[in-house]
Amino acid sequence: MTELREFAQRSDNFTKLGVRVLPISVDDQQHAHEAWEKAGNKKFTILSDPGATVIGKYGLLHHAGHEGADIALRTTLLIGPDGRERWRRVSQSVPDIPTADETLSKIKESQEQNSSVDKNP
Amino acid sequence: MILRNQLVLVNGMRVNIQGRADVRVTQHGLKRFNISFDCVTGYDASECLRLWNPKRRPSSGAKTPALTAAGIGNFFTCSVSFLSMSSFSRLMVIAVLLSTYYVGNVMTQTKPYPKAQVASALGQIAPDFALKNQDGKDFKLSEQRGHWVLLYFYRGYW
Repeated sequence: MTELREFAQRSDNFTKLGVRVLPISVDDQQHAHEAWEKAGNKKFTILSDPGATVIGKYGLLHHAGHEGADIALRTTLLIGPDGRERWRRVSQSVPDIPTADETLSKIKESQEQNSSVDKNP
Repeated sequence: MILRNQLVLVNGMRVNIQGRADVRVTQHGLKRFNISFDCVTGYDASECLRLWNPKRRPSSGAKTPALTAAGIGNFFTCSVSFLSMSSFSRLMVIAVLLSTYYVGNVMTQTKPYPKAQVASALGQIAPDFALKNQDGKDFKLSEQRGHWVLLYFYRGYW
């Protein structure tokens, strides 16, 4: 929740880079709404994946990660305008949390690489 | 107070704190507590209890096949009166409860997560999906084509 709150506080920085942040978890719609309102400060669309189907599709399942229930491994994953994955960062432990600064810098790096590819195809 | 699985030293003996401790506090202070724990194979559970409370026998105890199969010796739940214990035992109990609580938190914090089934899919088309958003409205990833998107998978359950 800490990182979602931090991302929401820095939402202008993500918007300036033209990035749409989409938080996803196994929480049901009611909890997603709570996260959207409180931690997310209504800045991002929050998606609900109660069956962890999408989380599994991306290979980010933490089996029995919360009291026997499957949850997501905390991950930030950037997708370019072409729909291709540009990078992903998967947390290794509880305190391993992506910061907004680190994430924004990675996004800028990917966008610069993208524009150099566009200029020199 | 929840005690997570961990090994602690009680009088030089390894004890695996397994369950939960219900510490009851009354208006007269700490009165009674219930603690469930088991001992590492090779040690007798009653020996553990003798160290905790030399004057009393455990109120209940059972050897469970599952725990034995898991390499854990006897599993005991004991309920003893805190006030009936010697000062040394009381200090021992408080020290163990506090240290196991602290160590448990540290261990939980630093325990590594399992590896992702897919560590990277760099350059591959991100799998499309359709999910509901916080308002119950449909959302499709493919409709975001042409935009940069940051999927942020969080652990949820908060």
